[in-house]
Amino acid sequence: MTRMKARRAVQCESAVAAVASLATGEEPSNRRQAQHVSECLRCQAAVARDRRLRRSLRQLRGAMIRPNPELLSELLLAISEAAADEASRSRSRTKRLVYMAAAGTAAGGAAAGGIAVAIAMHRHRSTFTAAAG
Amino acid sequence: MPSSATVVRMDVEALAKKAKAGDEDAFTALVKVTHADTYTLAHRLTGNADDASDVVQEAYIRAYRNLKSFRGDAKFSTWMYRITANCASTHLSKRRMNHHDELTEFMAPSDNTPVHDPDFVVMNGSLRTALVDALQALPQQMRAVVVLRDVYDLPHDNIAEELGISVTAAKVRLHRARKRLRDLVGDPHESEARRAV
Repeated sequence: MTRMKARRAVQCESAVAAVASLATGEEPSNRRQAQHVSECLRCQAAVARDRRLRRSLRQLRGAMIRPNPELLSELLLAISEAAADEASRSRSRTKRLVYMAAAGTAAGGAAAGGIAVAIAMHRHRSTFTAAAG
Repeated sequence: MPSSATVVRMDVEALAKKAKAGDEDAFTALVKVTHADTYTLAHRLTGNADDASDVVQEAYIRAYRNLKSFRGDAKFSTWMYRITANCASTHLSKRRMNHHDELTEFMAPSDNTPVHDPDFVVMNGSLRTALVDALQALPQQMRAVVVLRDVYDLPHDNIAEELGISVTAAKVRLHRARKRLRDLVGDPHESEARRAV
């Protein structure tokens, strides 16, 4: 008898997620746990108790806690500082992009110049070799 | 004719849409309309006014920076609750690392004056006080799940995501939190019935 009680307690303990779901009005995701709750009076009683508690807790939703009257102005100040921060970060990002693009263009130009010089030198060498031959 | 609560809700969604489009004045108006509600959640999660103010400030700055990621398929308030829950969790974890948690765990809430709400008067005043006190007495991690699920009705997966735990862990924690609350308050139904006799 005691062993049976202990085994049921273990099963009840492993079905707590299902009890939590059912008390909230959701279907439990674990079928074995749901099966246990449907057969266990103790778990069903726990579901009923949790539902009553939940109903009472839901009523706290309408009870606002008044913030300090200065909070709103502090919030608006913090947000405007964050906005200024964001704007300056965005400006430096844009600047960085412009620099990178300029550097890229310069590097590209330099590379193109180098290639043009190399080609010219190659042509010149070829012409010189042909003339010598 | 829509109720005043519906009108406020409609205004909030319209403001959120404008703010998302880059209207800074709309964001300011949004903060004015919603800050008391956000503060209430932060207070319930942290248990004291100073931490709640810090969490609210962090939450609105984060909301401002991430406004573009607000998809509008959920209500703005739900989105704000998730950010607040995440900020509160981070804030309290940081504080725990600094070993200051035990100082504030048993602090009484500084201002719990309820604003008038027609639904709210339904509950017996002493039961409300008992519930608020019991919530404050819960360990922070238990308090977070029960407040977010049972008071604010956030889905389990959102709660799990914001608190950085699995959905199953959130449900198990919720069950234990409810049991602890019942141990502290007693069964609300039975308490009410006893008081009525």
